[in-house]
Amino acid sequence: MSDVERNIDVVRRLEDAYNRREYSHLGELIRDDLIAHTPGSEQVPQNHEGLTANNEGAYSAFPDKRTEILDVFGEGDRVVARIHNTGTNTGGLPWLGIPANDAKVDLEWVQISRHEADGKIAETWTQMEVPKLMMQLGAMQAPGGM
Amino acid sequence: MATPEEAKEIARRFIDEVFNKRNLKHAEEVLSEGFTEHSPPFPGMGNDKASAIEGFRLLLDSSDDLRVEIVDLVSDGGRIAIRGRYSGTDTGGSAPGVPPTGKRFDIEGIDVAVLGDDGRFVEHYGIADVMTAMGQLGLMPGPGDQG
Repeated sequence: MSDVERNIDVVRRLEDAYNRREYSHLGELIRDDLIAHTPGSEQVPQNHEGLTANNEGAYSAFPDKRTEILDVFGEGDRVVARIHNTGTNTGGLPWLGIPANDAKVDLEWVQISRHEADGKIAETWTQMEVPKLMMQLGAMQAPGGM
Repeated sequence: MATPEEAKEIARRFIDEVFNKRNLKHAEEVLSEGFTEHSPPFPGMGNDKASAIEGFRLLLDSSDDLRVEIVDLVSDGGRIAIRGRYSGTDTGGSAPGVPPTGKRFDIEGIDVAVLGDDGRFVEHYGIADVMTAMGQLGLMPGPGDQG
């Protein structure tokens, strides 16, 4: 397995761990001093504890949450992944002032990760379809009244 | 298939020609006829080549001093990820029907283009930090403004 294939495997295993809500192997996949460039999540500590809290928070809002990797490729120390996320807001997002409303969400994010020589993720850059999410949750109107 | 370096050069040239030199003819040339746009910029827009080019035109029309700077490129030869910095002044309105604010935006986005065997683009998906841009333009709905 090449380093790039190994790094892609790390991204797949991490997504699988989030889907299974199984965090005991995070330390093999991602550094505890991760640098995560994710707009809007600056207040959340980006260590294993913060990543676990993020994922558990998402499951409290969307107990049926699933993610699927639609596309993944890499070069050098970088991996690019396109991730599709679905769920139903039966739990509410109190940190955003959004109550449980059975709204279905269906959105994507794109992530670039930088991997250490041992394959662990050290830094990420993520862009998420946040306006689409907020519109699906009924918390924002479409631009221009669309 | 292109080498990663060749693919990155195609992406650099595309960004420079289409967004910095405002040359939509280049987009006509390098998007294949069967091109698929997976991330239309606005709800209701189509997924074909003509819709993609209309999306580029809307972006150019939204800002007469738009600059796109490439921050990072990742390619396996078949695909190229572009992490870019998009900055400019909102001179044309950030969405159809939204009046221009005259304010500046400066955001990042990540785009992925897929190359066909002939070196033309066959697919694209990408996401920009629209929420930050809306905040910079003062268009962010506050609590209580919803619905």
